[in-house]
Amino acid sequence: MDEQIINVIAKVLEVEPSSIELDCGIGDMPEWTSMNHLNIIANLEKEFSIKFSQSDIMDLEDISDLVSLTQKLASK
Amino acid sequence: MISVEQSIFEFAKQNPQKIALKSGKTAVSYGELVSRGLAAKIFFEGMPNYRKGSCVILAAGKHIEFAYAYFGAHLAGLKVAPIDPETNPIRFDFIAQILNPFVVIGFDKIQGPWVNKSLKDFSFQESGLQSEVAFPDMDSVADILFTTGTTGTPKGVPLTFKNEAAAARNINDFIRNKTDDVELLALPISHSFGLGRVRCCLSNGQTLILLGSFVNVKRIYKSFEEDGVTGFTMVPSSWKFLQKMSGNQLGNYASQLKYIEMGSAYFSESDKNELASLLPNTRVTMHYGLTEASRSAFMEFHEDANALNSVGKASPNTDIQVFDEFGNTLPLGNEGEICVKGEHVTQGYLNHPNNDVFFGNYFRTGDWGTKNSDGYIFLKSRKKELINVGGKKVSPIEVEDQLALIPGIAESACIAIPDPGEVLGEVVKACLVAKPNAERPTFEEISSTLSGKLEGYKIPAVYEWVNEIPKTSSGKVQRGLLK
Repeated sequence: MDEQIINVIAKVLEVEPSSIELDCGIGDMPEWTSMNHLNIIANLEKEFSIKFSQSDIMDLEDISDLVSLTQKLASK
Repeated sequence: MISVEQSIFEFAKQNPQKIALKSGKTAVSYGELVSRGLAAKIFFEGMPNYRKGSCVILAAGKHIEFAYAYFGAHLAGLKVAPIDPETNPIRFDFIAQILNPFVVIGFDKIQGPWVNKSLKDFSFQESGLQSEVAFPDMDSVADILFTTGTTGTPKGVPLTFKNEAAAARNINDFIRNKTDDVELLALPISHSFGLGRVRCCLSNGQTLILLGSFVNVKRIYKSFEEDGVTGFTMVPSSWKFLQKMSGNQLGNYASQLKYIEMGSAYFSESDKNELASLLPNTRVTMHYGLTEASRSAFMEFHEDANALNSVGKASPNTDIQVFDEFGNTLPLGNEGEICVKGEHVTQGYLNHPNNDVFFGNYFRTGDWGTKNSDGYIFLKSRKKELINVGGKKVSPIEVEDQLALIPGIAESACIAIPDPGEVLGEVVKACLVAKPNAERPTFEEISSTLSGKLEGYKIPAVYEWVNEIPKTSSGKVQRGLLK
């Protein structure tokens, strides 16, 4: 599923999936603007039929946090 | 008045151990900042083709090395053009052509008749360089900032050391930030607002934390906790985003935060009231200004609660007058062009006749409004039709010029519409007229063609096919008639 999640993020950011590193901070890539952040959240919710809560979102620091949170919510 | 650089050096002599800048895990003290700034000066002076007064293009991201290169270049008598590391190639070429830089820093992939240096080249290890420093003449040009001109081509705004020192003094006078304040800057320093904060904090002996962007809300609050942040800077869209992500959590830091500076875009009266009640003991300030005349007016949401629909009063050491179109001062309450006088104001645009830029000593902002008997300035309209996407200005013409190159589009007009996501304030909407008998591109195709040619925030968020673009009899596009 990791790959699928990364693909969603890469599509929004319009970058190659291979350029996304899991230990990179949210917002550290120049393409990761606030608008794209909202789009990533919305697209992940749609793609995996999940819903992030505000406290979930607040707890995201690195891309790996976003990937594991998406996995956790999607496996419920 | 002394330059920002000299203030930093004098503070560093007394407080060499105090942390000046922090970015991620890297922290640098005032002593190190000065010593590395001097090392950068020597580095520049030893470069082939170095000549005092030459230009440097410098990528202004959140890297601490930016500060060494920036202050070092100033000490070496160079003019700095700090620009966004993500600047589109067309804009970069335009700027490079005007400035003819002898060195470009932080744009490793862009080649030209200059020397390329990486920001890493400025991570000097030298320390203890305590040679006597000759500070630049206050009337010489320190920076050349580029604004989004109404014609779509960037306009170079030279700022002297005096302009920058005066702006920092005026801003600090109003905000009342103290040496022991710790400020979190979650804005890009490639823009006048963010770069101004760097100068204000460092000339004041403060600690400044560079976050670069607002997206990582967890890091923002983590820094509040771990670094004991007492000062914060936002554009209205940052606040909207922060609110969307974290509700009113900022209010948990009401007793910790001593000041906030906001600016760069419209912020409604109700938003101002809301933020003022969330932070009852914080000086929540907001400026009105331009790159050409940084922070010309200021307000504080509690003190100026009776005039929240204004943009505040003239900043300390600044005069604002409203003029008619012939340059005559208008009586209070009459609508005219808002014009600004002060030591912080640029002397005029680069390579521009400048005869239409001033009325006497007053810089013409191009904004229309009134001034009342208490000195409050009320904006009525922006003469310049720029679109304000989250505090970043977009010239509709720049976008239209790119749209005109796409097959299937006969002509277009771009306008500002409220951001449907309610975060960015405004976004770009493109009204398009199709070429007869040609295949219409899809909106996705248009966006993908524009991507790479324009920065992301300039790409229209909304498109609409229209039958025609309304124009005046002289052919000027009437954007006001489009929705």
